[in-house]
Amino acid sequence: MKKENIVIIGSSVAAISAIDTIRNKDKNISITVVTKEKNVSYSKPLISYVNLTDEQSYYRDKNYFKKNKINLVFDEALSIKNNSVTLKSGKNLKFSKLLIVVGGKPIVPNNIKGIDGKNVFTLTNFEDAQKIKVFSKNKKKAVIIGCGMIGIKAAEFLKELGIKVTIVELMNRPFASVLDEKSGKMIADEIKKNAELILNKSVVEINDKYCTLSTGEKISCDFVICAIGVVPNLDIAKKSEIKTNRGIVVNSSMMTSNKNIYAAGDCVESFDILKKENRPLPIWPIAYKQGSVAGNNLIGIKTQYEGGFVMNSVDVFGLPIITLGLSNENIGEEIVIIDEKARKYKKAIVNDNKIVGVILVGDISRAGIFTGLIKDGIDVSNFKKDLFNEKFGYIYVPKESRSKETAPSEI
Amino acid sequence: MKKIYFKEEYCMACRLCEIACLVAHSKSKKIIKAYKEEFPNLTPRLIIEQKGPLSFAIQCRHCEDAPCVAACVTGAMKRDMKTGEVTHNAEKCVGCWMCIMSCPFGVILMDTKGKKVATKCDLCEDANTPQCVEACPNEALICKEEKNIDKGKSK
Ligand SMILES: Cc1cc2nc3c(=O)[nH]c(=O)nc-3n(C[C@H](O)[C@H](O)[C@H](O)COP(=O)(O)OP(=O)(O)OC[C@H]3O[C@@H](n4cnc5c(N)ncnc54)[C@H](O)[C@@H]3O)c2cc1C
Repeated sequence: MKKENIVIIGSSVAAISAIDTIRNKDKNISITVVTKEKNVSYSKPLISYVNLTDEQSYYRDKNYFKKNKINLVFDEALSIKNNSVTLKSGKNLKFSKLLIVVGGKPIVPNNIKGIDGKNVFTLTNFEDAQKIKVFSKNKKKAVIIGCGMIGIKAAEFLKELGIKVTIVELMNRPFASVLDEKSGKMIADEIKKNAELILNKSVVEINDKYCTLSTGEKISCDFVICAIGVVPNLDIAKKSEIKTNRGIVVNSSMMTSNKNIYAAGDCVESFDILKKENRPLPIWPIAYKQGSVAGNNLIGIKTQYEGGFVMNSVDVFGLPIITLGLSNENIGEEIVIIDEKARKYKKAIVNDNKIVGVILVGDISRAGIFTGLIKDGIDVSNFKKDLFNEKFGYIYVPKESRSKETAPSEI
Repeated sequence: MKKIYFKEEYCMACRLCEIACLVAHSKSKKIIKAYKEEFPNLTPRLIIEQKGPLSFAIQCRHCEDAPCVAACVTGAMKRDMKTGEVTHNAEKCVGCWMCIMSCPFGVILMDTKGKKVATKCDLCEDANTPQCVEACPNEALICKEEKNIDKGKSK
């Protein structure tokens, strides 16, 4: 039998989850990781946190790759041909099995004048955050384009750095893809206590003193963070005859159109169990899960990824929000409670007796019970009125639908 | 690994398990002292649920394929490959609540009294047996070796 030689492109969570899975079963198989990252094993969602302790700044410990006997190559992968990866340095890496976990790329609109200026940044990796920290010294004001997840993280980041922030959002509310009008308004009010928020407008031009809006208004600022979203990184796949759609196309084993090449995480299209279609689902838990499924399949242990759905947990200047599934679609009965004074809002969307979307603002305790109900497609018709009642809990889940983790049959 | 299971037909919702849990996770480990000096600042690691005549106490299931571990962006939530226990390192936790969003049992709690961190059942790592199980007067909470339990018949 020829010796297996696994190469992984990317060193973030999907890569680490795959490595954990492989090393748990096979301590010796050869694994090479190629990364264009200088700092390996930091956690992406934490790049905007300013005061992390040393312990918090590593997702896994400092010696993770060494401990796991990973051959770490600091280089950029360009393309794949005949079981070999071509690197920027000119070197080639041979593999028997390959895993592409190159994540997403920030969207940078090309119709904004000055978007390529030295004072315009994105915030999706460690280096971005470092650059912003350095540039923002002695600066006072910034504009953030986009009020989604990364926009809010950027706003909190800059606030910590002592920068005055204006967020410009094209839609009429923050997180427009996942929040409805009502909760969007609540969050907008919350943001306005901490930053300037301009809705329904876009930035058309940037220079080193101000941004010009679609309305002609000028917002004075020293620099700009462009935070309008991420798209799957298809650079390598497109150059290597690997089938792509909106993301890299994979089957439920995370195998691409080439049987020796797997892909996982933010760079792929995943099966959305609620929409019943394949689309990018660029969130951490899905990257982790898919990395693990790919890891198993890379070493011949057949495992399937069953699909997932979008979910987000965001803290908006201290106000916690969780959204699950199709939280902003009019596709069923809505169960809502609002307490504007207490800054609380809860909504569940029930379609065909199943929960398909949830928004929680202010009180997010035990949110995972809803995640479980969505994931398992549990019929909630008997208790949907109680979903947001004080006493609601796992006890409402019908016995026959409860997890084996709670009730083994013998006891 | 030993896991804690509830039997809802025996639970009387007396809440002794909750008190035992609070005390077990207090500094002094003494009930009076814990209640006098630390009480409002203690977060129990289990939840007592009631619906009509039914009740049970539920805490971290230490799931084999734990959604909280997958969701944790800091590496604070981990599964110990040797013991099977799901452990939480409060030092690493930043309180992003990804675990709160993921746990299908809703048994990870938010401790917001000091630095915001998640908290959950640690099977009473300091004691020999989980204190909630010790405290239960009616054996509505039991601690059993998982492998002795026939998983096949249950869902
Ligand atoms: C600021 C921020 C906050 C976030 N917060 C959350 C959150 O709270 N919750 C949540 O669920 N998700 C969050 N996310 C999304 C989450 O980080 C991603 O879903 C997750 O990191 C995806 O992991 P991945 O391994 O697929 O890819 P990535 O983490 O994107 O990693 C891809 C890796 O591949 C490397 N790479 C790319 N191209 C090449 C190449 N050609 N050669 C070599 N190496 C290459 C990159 O350098 C990178 O290390 C956040 C993202 C950002 C940017």
